[in-house]
Amino acid sequence: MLKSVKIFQRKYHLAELLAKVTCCILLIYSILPHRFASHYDYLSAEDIPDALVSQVTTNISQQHMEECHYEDIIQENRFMYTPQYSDEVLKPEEILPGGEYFPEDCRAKYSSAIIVPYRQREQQLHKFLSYMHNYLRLQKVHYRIFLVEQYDQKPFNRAKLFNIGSMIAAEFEFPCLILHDVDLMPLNLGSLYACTELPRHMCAALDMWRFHLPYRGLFGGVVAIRTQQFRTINGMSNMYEGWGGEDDDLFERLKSRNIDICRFAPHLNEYTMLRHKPEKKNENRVTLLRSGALRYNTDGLNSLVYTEKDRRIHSLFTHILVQT
Amino acid sequence: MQNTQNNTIKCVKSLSVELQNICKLTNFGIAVAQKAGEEESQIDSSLCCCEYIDRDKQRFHILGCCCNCVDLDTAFTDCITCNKVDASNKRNMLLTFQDRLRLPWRGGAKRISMEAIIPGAVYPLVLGLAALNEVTSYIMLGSIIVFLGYAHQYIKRNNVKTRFFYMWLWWSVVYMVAGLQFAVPLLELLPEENCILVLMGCASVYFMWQTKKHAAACHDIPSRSTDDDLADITEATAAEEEEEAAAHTALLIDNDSPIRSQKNRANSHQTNMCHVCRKYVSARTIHCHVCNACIMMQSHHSYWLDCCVGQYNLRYYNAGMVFSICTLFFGVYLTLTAICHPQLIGRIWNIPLMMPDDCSEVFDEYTLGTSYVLSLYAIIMIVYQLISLILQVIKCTRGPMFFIFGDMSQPFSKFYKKLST
Repeated sequence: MLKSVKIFQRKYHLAELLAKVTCCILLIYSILPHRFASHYDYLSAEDIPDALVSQVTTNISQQHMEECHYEDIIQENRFMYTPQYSDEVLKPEEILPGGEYFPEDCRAKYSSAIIVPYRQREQQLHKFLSYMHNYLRLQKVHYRIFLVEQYDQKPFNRAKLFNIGSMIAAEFEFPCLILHDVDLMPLNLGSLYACTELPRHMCAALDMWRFHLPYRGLFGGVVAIRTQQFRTINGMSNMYEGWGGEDDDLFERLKSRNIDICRFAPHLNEYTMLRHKPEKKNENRVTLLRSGALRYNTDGLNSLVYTEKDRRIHSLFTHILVQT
Repeated sequence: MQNTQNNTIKCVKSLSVELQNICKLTNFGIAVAQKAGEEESQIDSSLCCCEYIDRDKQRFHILGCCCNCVDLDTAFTDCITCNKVDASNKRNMLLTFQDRLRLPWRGGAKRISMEAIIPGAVYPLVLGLAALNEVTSYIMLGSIIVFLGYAHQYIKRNNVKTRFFYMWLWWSVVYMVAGLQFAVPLLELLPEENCILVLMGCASVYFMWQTKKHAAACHDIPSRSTDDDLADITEATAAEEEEEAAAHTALLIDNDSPIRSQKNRANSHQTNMCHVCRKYVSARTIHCHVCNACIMMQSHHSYWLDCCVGQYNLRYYNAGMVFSICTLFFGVYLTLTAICHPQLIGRIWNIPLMMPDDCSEVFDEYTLGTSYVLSLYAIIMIVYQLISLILQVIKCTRGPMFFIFGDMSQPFSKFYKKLST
């Protein structure tokens, strides 16, 4: 029976060797990077101005003023998440009815429709609206907040509400869509609410995840995508009811059309998540994801069926009540 | 000085003899046979991995554990016939049970001591219960502190030799590593952070292992060959014996070890004489009643490592302490910021620094609860280690610097020896 092995002039007993090899394997396994958060490629500060797509709605483009400057905002990246900004809306008279705003002293370069799917989270909504209006006005972009509320008892269908929101934003000619969760708020001013050439994942550094990105394919939370691209991929799937899966499906749709995604540098991506009870998970999201590729052309904007119950123009947002 | 050098050479020699022994033992399964004595050598000496020499010096196979227990049989018969079970019967049964609880091992099955098993079973049980909710976590962790603290004090006072704390430490390390691997949401940690944690953990385990390895080198084995020494000893014995007997009776009256150790220390300073071993020892040597040996420059006996900390392993011990505190602290930081809601408190070189500000939701999921309880346990360990390290530093400010660095000449001389050979 073989009992010892000779390696480099030293004899090892088989059991000793086995134990050492096992230890080494365990050690190597414990530091394998695939089980941990991942680093990601990001646009450097010099590339950001070129990557941003300067497109505005007609009413803004007719203004005869000097263009606004955004370099300093990104450069400074001021920390904003303080009680001063998050508690109440400062100077509410600046905001136009329907939650629209554009800077008065210069011509905005970017127009963005902020689409927020919503159901039964009043406290979060209140905090979100007051903070976001304070925040976005300092960014000097032209924006309007569309709140799409699901007005039925079916499981929450986030993706479908985004589709509906994009249709309504298109009515207002917005060239850029920001698909935004109501429980996420940017910490620093540098996370510019404008579209880049490629769809952009904006909340890559979430405080719930220690400001790290769990995996590179994560494309949910806050996403900036051009209206035109959103139409090219036929929007999002309408079939994801309940929590989870729809953001991965969006990522797969983009990949199938060879559209890459991009991100800003980590310190520009920092978001905080408001605490809430977790939504009911979608049990068959994995099955839906697997068969997703077959439905890219049939399931989405072109198969969207809904009834608009009501559209209210509030002082801080445009409220759209829909039945899915 | 000459004396110490002699001693160290002897130490090294005895170590090498021991090593040779171990090699012999491990090579071809004759370990147990040799230990058991001459008569066993007549039995065919090669044991398979499942065989061992039992209490009655007979060859036994692991799978035979359920058969052939005379004491169990008699006890059972007594039970059935409603007779009183004999006390010696009970004891023998227990001994047989302990003897037969074995693990297959090359060179003969090894006996598993209860001291090793109990912590391995109790630790996950207690922390598993603690992870249920907030109340149980406080109760369980509190009782762990009370139990371990009481047991440690009791054992220290009575100088019991036990591997319980050593095994407890090992099991807690094992379970903490397992907890980190399976309970903590690793997707929130960066690979670099994990690498730092693993490196520091390896360093602390390495230093603790070195502490244990070098513990034997601190045992003072003085020369008895010279006539003067012998004369002194023979002279001393009569008087010493009386004194020791008196000390013993005093001890029986109250088991207060500090007084004794002080007395011992005072005596050894005066005469460099160990009263227990009845021999001359080098300066600053203290007799350890647990190791039952004279330890050169003894700092203390560590139950957690089950060895004495003295001249040659003190620096490893201190390095191990510092590294393990760092590892535990970093591990707790990573775990708590991952499972709780973190708050940004600042940045160093663009790396966000966080503080856990709200841990109210950790008991919603059992895995998160487990990692939370493990990190609370780690915090207790950090506090304990910090206190003992601070005590060590206070000790060194009163005494010579060697309490931190140990004997500095040793590593370099060893290094040169290695180079030259």
